[in-house]
Amino acid sequence: MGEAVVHVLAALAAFLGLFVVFARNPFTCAFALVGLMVCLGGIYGLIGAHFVAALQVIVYAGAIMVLFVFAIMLMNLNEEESEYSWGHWRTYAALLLSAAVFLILGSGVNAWLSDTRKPSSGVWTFDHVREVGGNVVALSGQLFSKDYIQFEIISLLLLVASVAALILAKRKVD
Amino acid sequence: MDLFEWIALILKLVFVLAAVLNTVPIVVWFERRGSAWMQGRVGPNRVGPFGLMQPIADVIKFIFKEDFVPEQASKFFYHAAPVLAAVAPLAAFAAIPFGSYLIIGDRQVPLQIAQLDVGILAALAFAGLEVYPVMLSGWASNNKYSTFGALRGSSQMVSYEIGLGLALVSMLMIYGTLDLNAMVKYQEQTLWGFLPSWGVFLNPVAFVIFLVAIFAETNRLPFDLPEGDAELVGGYHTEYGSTKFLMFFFAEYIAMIMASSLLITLFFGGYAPLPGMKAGVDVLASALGFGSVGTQNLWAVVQVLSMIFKVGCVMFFFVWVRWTFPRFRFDQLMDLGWKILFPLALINLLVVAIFIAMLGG
Amino acid sequence: MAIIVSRKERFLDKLYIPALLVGLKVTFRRFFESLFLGRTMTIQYPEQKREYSQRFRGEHFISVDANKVENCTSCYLCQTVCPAECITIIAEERPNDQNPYGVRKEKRPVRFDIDALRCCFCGFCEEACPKDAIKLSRNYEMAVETRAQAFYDLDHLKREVKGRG
Repeated sequence: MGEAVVHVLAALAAFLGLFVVFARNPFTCAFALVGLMVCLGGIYGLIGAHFVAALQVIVYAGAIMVLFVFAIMLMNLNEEESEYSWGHWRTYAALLLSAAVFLILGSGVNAWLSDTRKPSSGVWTFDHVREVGGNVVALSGQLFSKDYIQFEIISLLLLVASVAALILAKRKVD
Repeated sequence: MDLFEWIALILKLVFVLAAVLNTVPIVVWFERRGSAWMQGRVGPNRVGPFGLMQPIADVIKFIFKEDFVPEQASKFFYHAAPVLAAVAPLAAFAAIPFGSYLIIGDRQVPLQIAQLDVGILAALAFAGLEVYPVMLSGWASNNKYSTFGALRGSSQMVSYEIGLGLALVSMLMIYGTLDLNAMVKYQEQTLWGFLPSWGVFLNPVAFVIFLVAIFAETNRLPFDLPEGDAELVGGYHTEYGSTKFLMFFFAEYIAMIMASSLLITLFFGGYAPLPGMKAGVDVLASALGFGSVGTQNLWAVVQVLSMIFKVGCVMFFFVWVRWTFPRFRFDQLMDLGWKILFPLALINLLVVAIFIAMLGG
Repeated sequence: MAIIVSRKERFLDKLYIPALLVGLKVTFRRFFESLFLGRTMTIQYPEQKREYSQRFRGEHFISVDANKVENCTSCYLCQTVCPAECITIIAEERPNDQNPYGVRKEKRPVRFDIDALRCCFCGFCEEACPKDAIKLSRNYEMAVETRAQAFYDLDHLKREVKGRG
């Protein structure tokens, strides 16, 4: 049953993704994106990655998209005026590019699905996760032992980014 | 999952839904009569004994009101908002344990809908979605008051989520787990022989921050600026009437019950009764001639009752605070959130981390 | 002369929490008193009624003598003094059989209408009346279902009112 729900959620996510691209109203786009994030969270949860699922919903749906929607509300964007012009070369370029990306991603997923040598060892298998006592333990073990340098570098990067954002905003105010 | 587990799951779902949805009218009743008592009035006492039927009268009134949709509203979002408002906090109940386990036959039935090892995060994730109905309703009803209410509501919720999250992190460091059930197990121990080792005694600063933050998250007075009756008519639900408003009304109380169960699980030992009560229940069970299975089941029932009792106490506190304190001004609210609670939570986090490193390291 | 009061905010005052607790204590004491001691301010209206002053000016009536004949002599003083212009009197000659006591009342009102929706209950009519005919009772329950009912005619005004009601 879980698998069926994953498929339903995936289809829903794809549908909402189309909405994000094609809806005229920026508010509709933003909320379709929120729905998409929640769907992704559901998929993560159903395939056993509860921690990632919770974080997906908390960070993307609960925090980032709130700021998006907030900005849209503040700027009072209405229905987008410009029509999609089918004659323009950019439209065809975009179509071509997205088709290429879709093909590459699809073939990658297909190769992974048809690969019978699914990882039976390593830290991310169900058995290992169950053995160490849950997603959080497995993830934090990995994060704070093997990958701690990367972890610290990323945190430094985020700190620098937030300071930079602050300085940019402050200069504008002054 | 076999049939037994399915039936157990459905029964648990029904129990939690029924418990939560039936608590709402009781709290509404208490909100009205309790507010009256706190102001030296009598309150609604005509419908039924002690006015207990008043919520039913209210619901009937709401149902028979005109069900209108504003001309310029964007219809889909306008109708989706109240639904989302009620669903988001209800979903969060899935992660909250309301008892240890029952023994039926020879199987243990844990009294929690979803045994997640990241229970607290799941609850927070769903609670975090409570921002959206506010924004949706405010934007979709195409009304300046609604929009202002929605802007206030969303910025307030986002701001206080930071303090809430940091207070939570300090508690998570103490408990060393994200599993709500394990947190309750931790709090069943005693502290220095007489105090239950509840989070409120271990980390009172985090408790105060968390308490203030959940008041802001649930839009309760003194932080009910999104509704702001005095200057915003009704805030984000200005344009809602009839059952759609009723939905928002219910959702507010469901969110309060959710927040108080989370508060209890983190700071007041969750479903765990007072430390001495286990012995008392054992004596009672042996007096009634229960075996070990019966004792455990009796104990689980006591735990569920203690959870309900604690939620009731916190709900009393919600009502009590509402009818005591005046509303904040919006800049004061933001000052409190960002300039006081946020740094305080950070300092508290640091102190807790140092303590844990010194004691546990 | 303004007095400048300088209050030093101590650390506890800046914390706000003690002050908040004081507030909570006040409401909890009130809660306890209302719930368990029954000390509430509420008047439970249809069963309990507020005791108004003896001088309360409520619904109008016209006093009658022993034969249920109104004391009014249609002198128009009340109609003249009424600031809200809510009294309308139409007079005619009083038949002799209504004067059994020898004191001749020459006129009587055919119609004596008071529009209670216009009346401001100032009591000037009562003061102006030389016969103490028109009076204001202490009845304040004047709710009616139609506008016409708020238009008091002579029959309504001549109803029996004990004392001042």
